[in-house]
Amino acid sequence: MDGLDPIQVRADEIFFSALEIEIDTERDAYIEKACASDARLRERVDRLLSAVSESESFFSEAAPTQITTADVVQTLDGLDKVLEKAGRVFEEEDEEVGKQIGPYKLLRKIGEGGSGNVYVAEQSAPVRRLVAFKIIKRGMDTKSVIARFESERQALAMMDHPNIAHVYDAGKTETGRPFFVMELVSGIPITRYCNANGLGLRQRLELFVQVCHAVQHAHQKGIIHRDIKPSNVLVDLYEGGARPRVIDFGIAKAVHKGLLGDAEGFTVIEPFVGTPTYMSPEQAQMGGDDLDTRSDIYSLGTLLYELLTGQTPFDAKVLAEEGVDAMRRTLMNQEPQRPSVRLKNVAPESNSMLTTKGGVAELERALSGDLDWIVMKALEKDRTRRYETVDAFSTDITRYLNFEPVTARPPSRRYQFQKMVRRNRGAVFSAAAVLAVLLAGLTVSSWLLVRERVARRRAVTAEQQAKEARKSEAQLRVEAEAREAIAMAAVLLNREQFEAAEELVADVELPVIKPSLEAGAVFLDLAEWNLQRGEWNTAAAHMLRFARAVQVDKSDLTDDATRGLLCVSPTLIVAGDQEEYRKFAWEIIRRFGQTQNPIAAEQVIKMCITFPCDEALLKEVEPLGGILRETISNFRGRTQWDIYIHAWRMWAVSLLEYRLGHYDEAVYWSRGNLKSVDETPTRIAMNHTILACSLYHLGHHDEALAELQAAEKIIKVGLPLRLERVVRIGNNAEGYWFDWFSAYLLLNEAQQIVPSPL
Amino acid sequence: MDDVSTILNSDPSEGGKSAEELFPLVYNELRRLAGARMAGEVRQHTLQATALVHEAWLRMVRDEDRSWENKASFFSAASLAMRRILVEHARRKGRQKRGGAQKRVDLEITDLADSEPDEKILLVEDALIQLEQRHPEWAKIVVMKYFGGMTQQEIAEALGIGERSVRRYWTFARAWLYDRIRAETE
Repeated sequence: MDGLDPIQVRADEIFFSALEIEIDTERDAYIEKACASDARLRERVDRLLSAVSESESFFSEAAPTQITTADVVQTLDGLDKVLEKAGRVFEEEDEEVGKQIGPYKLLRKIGEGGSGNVYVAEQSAPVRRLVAFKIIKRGMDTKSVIARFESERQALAMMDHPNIAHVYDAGKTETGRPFFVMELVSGIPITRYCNANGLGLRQRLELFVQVCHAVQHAHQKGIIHRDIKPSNVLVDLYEGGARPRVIDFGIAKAVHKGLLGDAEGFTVIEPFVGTPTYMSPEQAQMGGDDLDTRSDIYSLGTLLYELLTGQTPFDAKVLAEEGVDAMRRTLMNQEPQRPSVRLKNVAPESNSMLTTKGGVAELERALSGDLDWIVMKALEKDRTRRYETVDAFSTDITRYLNFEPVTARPPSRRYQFQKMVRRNRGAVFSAAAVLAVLLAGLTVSSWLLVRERVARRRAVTAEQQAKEARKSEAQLRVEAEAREAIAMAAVLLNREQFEAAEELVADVELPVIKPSLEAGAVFLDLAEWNLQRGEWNTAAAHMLRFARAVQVDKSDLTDDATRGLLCVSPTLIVAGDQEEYRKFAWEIIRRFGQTQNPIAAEQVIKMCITFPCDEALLKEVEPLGGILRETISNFRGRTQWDIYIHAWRMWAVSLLEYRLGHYDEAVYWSRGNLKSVDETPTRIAMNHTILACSLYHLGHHDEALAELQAAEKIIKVGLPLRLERVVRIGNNAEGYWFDWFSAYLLLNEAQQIVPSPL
Repeated sequence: MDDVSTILNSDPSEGGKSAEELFPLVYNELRRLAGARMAGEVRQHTLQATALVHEAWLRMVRDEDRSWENKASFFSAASLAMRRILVEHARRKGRQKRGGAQKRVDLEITDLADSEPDEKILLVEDALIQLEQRHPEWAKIVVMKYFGGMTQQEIAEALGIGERSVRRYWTFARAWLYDRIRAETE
């Protein structure tokens, strides 16, 4: 399409006017004059004129298709779906109350939703009971809906959790519409329940954790919900307490899947039931082809966001008002506001916590920090950065409730991260698909828009299919299995079931590990556990897997997750694996060698040259020393933390000087470092070892011996104490275990150089 | 040009219902009609698409509590429905025939006049989408005439313009579309 090509616009005008002129010679004269000497314009006009007679036979009759009634019905079925998306839902005859459908008698209507109506029904056989009876709206391909439900039925039957409402049965009505029969839950949506009962923060979180347990249970049975939102999480009263119940498990999958792309021969938009604000980015993007449990985690994150603030992260209406292009930009790039920030724009009536004594200010204080990060981690647009399991998510909330440190952290360099996400996601993220979703929840009556969306949807689907086709199915399966195993291991590790977790991931091959911070956490945990048991080699193997898993993106080594890479080198050396250490160090240089960030520079130095290395590598590391020297000379910090960081930077410089053979410099820096008021034992011990070696090389043998003994004294006392519980990475004051390992290994090195007096 | 569009978007204060407003009713009627035929024994009975609209119309006027401004406005609404039905139908058939997710019509038709009915519809649809962006008013006439099978007189009534104007717009739109299609298939 050539948009508003000015020549074409002009040609249309001339042509239209020319048709008015009935005398040939006059018409020719007019055209001649109007086109002046523009040859291209003239050509266009001539083409249009020649089309007048030629088009006559082409359009001699109305659209010529002979169409059978069956075709019309089928086509109308397909159109229903399209129209529904545009908000053009036509009135349908309700299934009448009192009607008998199989063993179910409809008693009264209790709900009307995007996907269908819900009734209370009485089941007569095999058991007599009241059930919820949900009839799906017309426009679904009944046969596939039921077939998909059947395929999951076994798994659904295995679910047995007090917070999950059972789905009993599926079938079709006389008129061919699919229905589902579910356990009758007489609750109200969780968000409404919380506000109506004025629940406080702790109560809300406790309720939410129960919801997480239910979803986790389903995930363990292999069932993804796909449509978690307040109206599917109902709260009823049970034995005097509030009990959340998740309904509609298995239904979203059955109803949604068949409406994708061309699956049933129709080109339609999959019906996103309800509001798109609870839907994960990948769900909006891919529609449902490649959803996994992390999609539910996102939806849960949205639900928690709403429970805490009273608002969903994105307001569908606001987005729609921005216009198509602005909406696209927003959705591609915009991170939702942190809950504590969002609070400022919330009307008090949408969140009962705002009307209590402290109001906004108090809630803001409570949310900012841990809760903000927990929610934001669940809402990461890149699913590899979300919690890997619902269990990890709810464990973090429980930790918060117990005043323990949580695992979620502020992304250290949010801006860079966002840029990275955009880069990685590339063109695949189709804002058009998201747009379609957003509009689906609103009432849009523009006929044009429907068609536009269908066209875009087609383009997106084709692109997606092409992408997937490139990966062989076998490969995908192996990757999926590995991911499942890792996810399960994460759950077990949270319960400290280390043996079982280890067994699960024992067969996971290095190349199939997909980058994921949560997978990284699993392997790091396992590595540490093995270190504690003295299983050095197994620990080293896990460390390598960890290193692979955290190659998530263009991380710059400044965030918490990649800081775990500091554990790798000491573990490999302890396990005696020099070759892997060498490879690892080169990999670090390849990825981070060009950094200009002093935090990263220090880490690279520690990872690469704490242990003897080859000359070439040393050359690559050398420039990083310059970055550190500069920040050290500009040091103005006053806080304990500043001083701590400063001291470690000085240590990195003295280490570098020592490895480069600049012993005078090394002595200078180490001595300076030992004057620091920071008392981290590992750093002090390591400075003594560097001093011992450097002084010995300079011929000051007595002084060297004294330094060696100082190091020995610290390490011999500190290391055994620390080794008793490797499985916590440690803290600044007691020293991280990997630093203790490094200190111990450096001491060994020094002992080779400085002869003991005995 | 303006007068056409204002009329199609209709002035309810003058008692006219716009095609947009009528559409759901017409659509539902078509659905009911098709469903009824399905239930009978004429499942595979072939019919001229526009005949379905006429039949729907006859059924609706029998229904006393539905008072239509006139037949023309009903037909213009029905044309929208027929367009969707015919295009979707052609797409489905094309896809089945080629056994894949063919997105575009094959552009190897040597003589446009010989193109298969379904292919023809898709060619017209693609060009019509372009015409709608340029000259939406004239595109409406194409929808009524080509997809709705309305006569010039019916279109003139529905739009409240003279028959001569309808003829002019139609000639223009027809040539314009043909030019587009020809360019696409060359």
